[in-house]
Amino acid sequence: MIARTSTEPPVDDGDRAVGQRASSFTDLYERELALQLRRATLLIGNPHTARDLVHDVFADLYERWDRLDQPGSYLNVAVINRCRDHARKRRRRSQQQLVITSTDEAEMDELWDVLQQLPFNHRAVLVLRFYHQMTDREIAECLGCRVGSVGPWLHRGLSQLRKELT
Amino acid sequence: MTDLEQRLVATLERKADEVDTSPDVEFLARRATQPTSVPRRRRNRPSVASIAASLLVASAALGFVVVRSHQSDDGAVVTDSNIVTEPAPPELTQPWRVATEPVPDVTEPLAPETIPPSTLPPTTQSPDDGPPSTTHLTATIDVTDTITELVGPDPFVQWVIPWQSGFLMRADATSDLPLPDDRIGDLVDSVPPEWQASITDSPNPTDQEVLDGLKANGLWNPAVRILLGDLAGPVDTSGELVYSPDGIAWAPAAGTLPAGDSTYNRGVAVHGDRLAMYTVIDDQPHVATTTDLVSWRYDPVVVPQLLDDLPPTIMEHSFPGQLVANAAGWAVPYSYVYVLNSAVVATSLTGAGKSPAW
Repeated sequence: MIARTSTEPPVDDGDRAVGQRASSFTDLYERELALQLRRATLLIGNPHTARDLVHDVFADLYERWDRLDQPGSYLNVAVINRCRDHARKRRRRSQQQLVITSTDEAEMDELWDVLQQLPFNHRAVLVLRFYHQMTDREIAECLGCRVGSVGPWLHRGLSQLRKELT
Repeated sequence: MTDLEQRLVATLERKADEVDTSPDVEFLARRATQPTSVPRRRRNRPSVASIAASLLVASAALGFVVVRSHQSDDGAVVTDSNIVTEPAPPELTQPWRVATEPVPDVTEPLAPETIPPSTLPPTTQSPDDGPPSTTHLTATIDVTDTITELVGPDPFVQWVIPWQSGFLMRADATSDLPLPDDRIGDLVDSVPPEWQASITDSPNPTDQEVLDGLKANGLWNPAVRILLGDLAGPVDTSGELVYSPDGIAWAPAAGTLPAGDSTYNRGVAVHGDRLAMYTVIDDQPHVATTTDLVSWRYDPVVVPQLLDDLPPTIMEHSFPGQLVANAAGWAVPYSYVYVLNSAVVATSLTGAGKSPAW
């Protein structure tokens, strides 16, 4: 399986004119968009929300472009933080409201449903490990946590999946 | 790779393949015509105020003990051992200042009959009295340094309970949260100049001096979490029990926390010489009980499943409430939530786990 991690673009120390900035930004956008859209969708479950969220991050990234030495790293962390914020707000809403919904999805994927119910950090570790093939250190950098936290979250996530699926 | 892991990989790949990854042409076109942004410091000034306000709240919540006090609304830890007789000096009502006044002797409580009538809290209030007073402090003692020495950096007081003839505190030390190098400038920019002057000795501090000042004042983690929008994310903590006979002098308690994750701050109860704490061991909730903080007895909390034969698409979640205890034993209420595709479809507040006899 091929590791799905982003590649850091070289820093351009030359002219910071708008045209060149837009060109560099477009390169990064085209190179990273698919990966970030897939990652955000796997983390929050909804592809439409994920698309809005990722583009919000890209817009923010463009604003900060001149001050960032490693925009790729910023992008990785920012997308995950936005996903975490979204998951937190969704959890608050679900706790405060009594809502009955039905699903439009034709396919009821049990494992996918269970995955979406996991705490965000457990779900994120599973996605980053089993889809993006990241190491513990790479996962810790993305999530802003200790490397030592990754293993327990991975174990708990898998345990909960196993428990709910049996 | 186990069967479950293979199934997980297949599910993730299938879901990822379904994602529409086509670029947003309009989005790119807008970026291509957008002028260069203005410098961050000027543009972000309004948000600096909100961050600074949040930092104030975060710092004021840490590690203060107020003696001879009724319940306070200012976020300090309070004890309530005596009737209040005097209002607090102005400097003692600011929780981030260290009290320099002599601490009154709390070992000699005043008898109610010795209190001048004019200083007693009014029992009734006329309409002209204005809003009722809720705080009657006589002394505030900053225990941040003490607790930091005992527990570790950036301590957070989870709870204080009466224990034996004094007080028992559970405080958690938090290690510094990591911050990406490319956000250092953002963090420094988030601290307004007037704040920089208060946390560093330099009139024109460097970035490093500002960062050191944040750490020295216990503001690093709150600032990083605010900056990253990670207010509910993970924090690495290590908890310690500390004891004080009077609420002023604190020392390590002769004992340890129970095994497992006992960070649930509503999961502690005391009755007489018995202490009960909620702790989760290997995903199984337990209540640990002790009389000496050394020998702990662990009783699993049996959380009943309220509804049988739930369809697989509906998940039942249970959440513990406040642990309570009396002479007969302990009890912990549970609430239940039923979730269908991320939406809550029903809630229940029934159900409880109860102990055998102490």
